[in-house]
Amino acid sequence: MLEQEVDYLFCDWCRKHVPCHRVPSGGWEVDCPGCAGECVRCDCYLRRYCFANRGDFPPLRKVEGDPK
Amino acid sequence: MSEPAPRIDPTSPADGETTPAPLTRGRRIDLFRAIPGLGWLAKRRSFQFWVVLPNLFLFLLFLTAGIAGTPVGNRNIIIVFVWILWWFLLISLLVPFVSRIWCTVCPFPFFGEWAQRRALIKVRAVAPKDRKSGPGVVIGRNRYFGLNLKWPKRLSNIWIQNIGFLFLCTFAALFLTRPIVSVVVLGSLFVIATTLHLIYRQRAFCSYVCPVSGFLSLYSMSSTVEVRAKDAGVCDKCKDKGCLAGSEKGWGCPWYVYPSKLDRNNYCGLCMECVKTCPSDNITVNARPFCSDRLLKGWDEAWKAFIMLSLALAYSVTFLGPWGFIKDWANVAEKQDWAGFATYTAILWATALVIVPGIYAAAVGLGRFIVRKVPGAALPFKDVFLGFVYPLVPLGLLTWIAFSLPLILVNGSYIAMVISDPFGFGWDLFGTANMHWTPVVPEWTPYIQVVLLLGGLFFALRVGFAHATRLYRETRVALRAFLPVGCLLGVFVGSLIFLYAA
Repeated sequence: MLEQEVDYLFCDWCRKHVPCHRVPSGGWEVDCPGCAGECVRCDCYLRRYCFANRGDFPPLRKVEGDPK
Repeated sequence: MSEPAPRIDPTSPADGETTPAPLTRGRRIDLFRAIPGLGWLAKRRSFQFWVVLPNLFLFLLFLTAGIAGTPVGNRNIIIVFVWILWWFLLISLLVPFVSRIWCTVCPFPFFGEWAQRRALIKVRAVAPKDRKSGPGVVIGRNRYFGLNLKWPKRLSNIWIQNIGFLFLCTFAALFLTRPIVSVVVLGSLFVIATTLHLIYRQRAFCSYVCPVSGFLSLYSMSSTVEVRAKDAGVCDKCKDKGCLAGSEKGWGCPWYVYPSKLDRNNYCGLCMECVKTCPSDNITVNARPFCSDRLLKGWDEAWKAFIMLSLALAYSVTFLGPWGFIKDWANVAEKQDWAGFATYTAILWATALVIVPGIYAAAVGLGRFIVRKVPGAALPFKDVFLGFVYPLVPLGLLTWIAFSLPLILVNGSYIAMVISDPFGFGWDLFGTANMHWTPVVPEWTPYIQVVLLLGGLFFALRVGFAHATRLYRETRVALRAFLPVGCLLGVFVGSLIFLYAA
């Protein structure tokens, strides 16, 4: 079941709703159930959203809208 | 740059989402808790430097011996130490018991990584206000130097490693006997590693190019140790993500893996940076049962398994078999039989890339055909194929150990000889240079090989059946679907036993 106050993406690959969390430093951590931690060969549909696509790791600054 | 905000897609299903049945993971022992001082050691910033440095000196000694020493292979330390001692230790002890520990101590990336980091031990952490200023490129919280390009997505797999390893192994008879050829091979890898470190980010060479890394990746799945997060819940709550982004305590993972979600050893180089950077002390090294990682995730990994198995078979036939003409074909430098070498190469490549995978695919297809009328058994070919190729991981590893065993038992006395006379100059540093060639228990070797092969078959059948059960869920259906592949594995092992015992 989807929960209130949680952001989701739907992953076509996994056929799952995937929770997403805003990391305080910016960017989204996509809690993908199909993630195997192997960003080295990740071909995931959600990869452009995932903080683990570390080449685009969010900068270390406060972003408007960050949770307290 | 603003990122797209996640949203709920109202047209997509939320209920009834399915999760594949997990494979048995077995028990784990936290080695940082079980072995006093191990965790402390892994957290030292200088840990990797001090384990690589002696290896680097040895490597440079080997290259020097290959260039300046005797051209007689079994009297030169580069041949004896690298292709007999190192190979045996790597495939028989390091990979099965300590995973990719070789990557921790490997000297190939030493200079490249030094150039990338401009530091051997210390960390270049970047304060938020300094991200836009200063030299180099900031990734996460670390500053790097060099071009730092991203590795091409199309090449983000192990196909280069597959082809590179097959290519090198085609010339095995050359570099196993000729020191200068070993220098060219190892020296070239060293230069390529350094160059790629200057162009691409972090361990691109190790992850995608190094031919040794390819089979370490595959066979480390069977290893009895792993680096993992202790508690995934702690990682979920972690806002720091130091394991990926780096920190003042260490570099972000050079291998681009995320330890929190990591469930295979394949692409973890055991550098221990995540152990240092984790702000919650949530990363550890576990001991675990043999063959705990059980999912191959792509055609490239499956073909790596085929290539390794085919090479073990080809080497057994070439170097241990009774057919001298095949050895002559392989040893082109000595025999100058170019037509024979071309034939050998064509057979080797066709076997590894087409014939063995083709036979295996036919067996998988036959299994699917047998259970085709069972409701719910019409699974995608790729899922079944990758699941049924996994048994080649333990079988391939044990086959390689069985092949490598005679190398050390028969030729091990050369190790004592070259320690006293590494260059073949007639030295006798430790009084062992003139030892006689003494094979160790040669009469027992075939029996040990048979035990190893049967052990490999046992593990292969066990994990193969586990995959079949995971896929088909019902034991009888799983058994019927796996039967052709199981028989094929049995025929393979039987053939090798016949070869070794003949």
